[in-house]
Amino acid sequence: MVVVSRVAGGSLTVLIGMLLVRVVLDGSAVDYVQPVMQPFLAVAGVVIGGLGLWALADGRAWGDPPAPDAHDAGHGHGHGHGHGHGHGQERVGWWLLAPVVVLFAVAPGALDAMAVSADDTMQVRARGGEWAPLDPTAVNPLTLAEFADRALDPQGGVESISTATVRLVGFVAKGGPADGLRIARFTIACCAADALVAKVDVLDTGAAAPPLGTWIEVEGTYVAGGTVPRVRASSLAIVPEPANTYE
Amino acid sequence: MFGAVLAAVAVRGWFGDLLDGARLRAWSTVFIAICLQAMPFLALGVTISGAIAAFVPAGWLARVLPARPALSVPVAAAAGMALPGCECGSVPIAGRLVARGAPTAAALTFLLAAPAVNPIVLVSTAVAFPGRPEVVAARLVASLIAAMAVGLVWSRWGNDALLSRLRRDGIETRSRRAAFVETAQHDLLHAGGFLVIGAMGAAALQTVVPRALLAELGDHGVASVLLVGVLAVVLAVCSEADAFVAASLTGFSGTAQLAFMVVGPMVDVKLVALQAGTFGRSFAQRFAPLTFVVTVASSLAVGTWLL
Repeated sequence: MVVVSRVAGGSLTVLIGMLLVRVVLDGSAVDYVQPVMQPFLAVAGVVIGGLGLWALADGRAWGDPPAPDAHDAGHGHGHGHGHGHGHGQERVGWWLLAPVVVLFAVAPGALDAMAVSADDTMQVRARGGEWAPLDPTAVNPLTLAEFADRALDPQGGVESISTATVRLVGFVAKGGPADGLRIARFTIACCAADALVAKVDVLDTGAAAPPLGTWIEVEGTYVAGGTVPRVRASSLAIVPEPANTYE
Repeated sequence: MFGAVLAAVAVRGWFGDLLDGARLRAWSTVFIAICLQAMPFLALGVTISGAIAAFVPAGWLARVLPARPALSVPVAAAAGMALPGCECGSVPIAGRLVARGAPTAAALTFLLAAPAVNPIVLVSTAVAFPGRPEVVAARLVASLIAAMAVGLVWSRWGNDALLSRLRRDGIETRSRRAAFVETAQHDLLHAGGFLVIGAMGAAALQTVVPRALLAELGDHGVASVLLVGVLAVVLAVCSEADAFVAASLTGFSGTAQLAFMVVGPMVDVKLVALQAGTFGRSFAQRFAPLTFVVTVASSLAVGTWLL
């Protein structure tokens, strides 16, 4: 098969469109991209699927009279390559099946505890700037990334978390202190290709740590020191995996 | 084709177990993520490309655009700024512009400027570097300089014959509708195919090259600017998101962070695959190194000046 024939090309295009709509509908899109991308994925799916249907319908209406695909195929290999424009498609289009197959066959899901290496000291951005004050009389829910950002910012960040109780949610990751555990969570800006990991060590949790990947909710207070930001837990609970595992 | 998908579903059980290695799963996740993330931009890009084929008469671009690169290149850079595209969408558009007779220098400047500086990219940069508007300004200036410099260098010393196959734009326009559908679909499958190949490579490099390594390398002036430039090529992060990754490179100078954001949108693994597919391999072999050198130089100059 030298070129993607008109019918195959149209079907492939429709398939890609359907895939995009499907990952939005079944919610698996958030394993790979920011939730804010979902409407764009759905629109792209409709546009691409519509384009494929249109191409198929047009192809049938014309009955494919000059049979450019048969022509290309007849002339064998080199022909379809140079000027595929408008004459069927070049073979490279078949590669679009790869993500379809990977999604169906592997269904990799979101980046998880296995994707965090123990010696990975990379942290989320330690940005300067103003930090919103936390309420010292209440439990303040923070993302792991924000907690780590504050803990790594000696100008005001550390101070802002030193006097308040925080609530953090993450999965158990490799590494961590001997008498405690490490929780981590990925932050993505657009998609999993730009994922950064935020980690927090939870001290003095006592009993054996839950298995890697277990989702944990920690309430506790900031403890100075360490290359990875640390908290001492006042309460620790196993929670179900959130629908969107990224922050 | 559908048979292949059905077979894949059927063997999902043992196939999934086989690929249970953490690294392979991470590769799959990143690969799918890049493909999904690119699709809306690709859909926009091929729609515009189809519209150009349907509504822009052959030769019209050559007539309306100034013949002198010194004028057409800035026009192209401005046009690139207005399009909220990413790398994946601008390649088919630039290819179609060349096919429709636009001056090569202008089309190449558009190709580079569209993903590098547009409203979405500038806003995300401002969010990633709060309280540091000079980073946004430096990105804008360095990217525009690099995009225009590459266009001008190509118009002076480049070999347009390398792009000749694009000029053979063999669409028989039975109707505007047919031209639109055929072009958009062709470009989708063509650019999409190369995008998938590039995404596979980028995902593989991402899972093999630990970014953690970088945090320990520290800052060594020009050498680390070059290193971060190479990293941008290898990681192939979308231009809308690269500011966040750049901001996380806290061990590096502002100039090195800038280089990550200037180099990445103009030359990276998936982009080279797309360019090689659209413009030809011999073109990409010259264009990618040229772009890399110019973007690193521009980052160094502007970073030293502004950051």
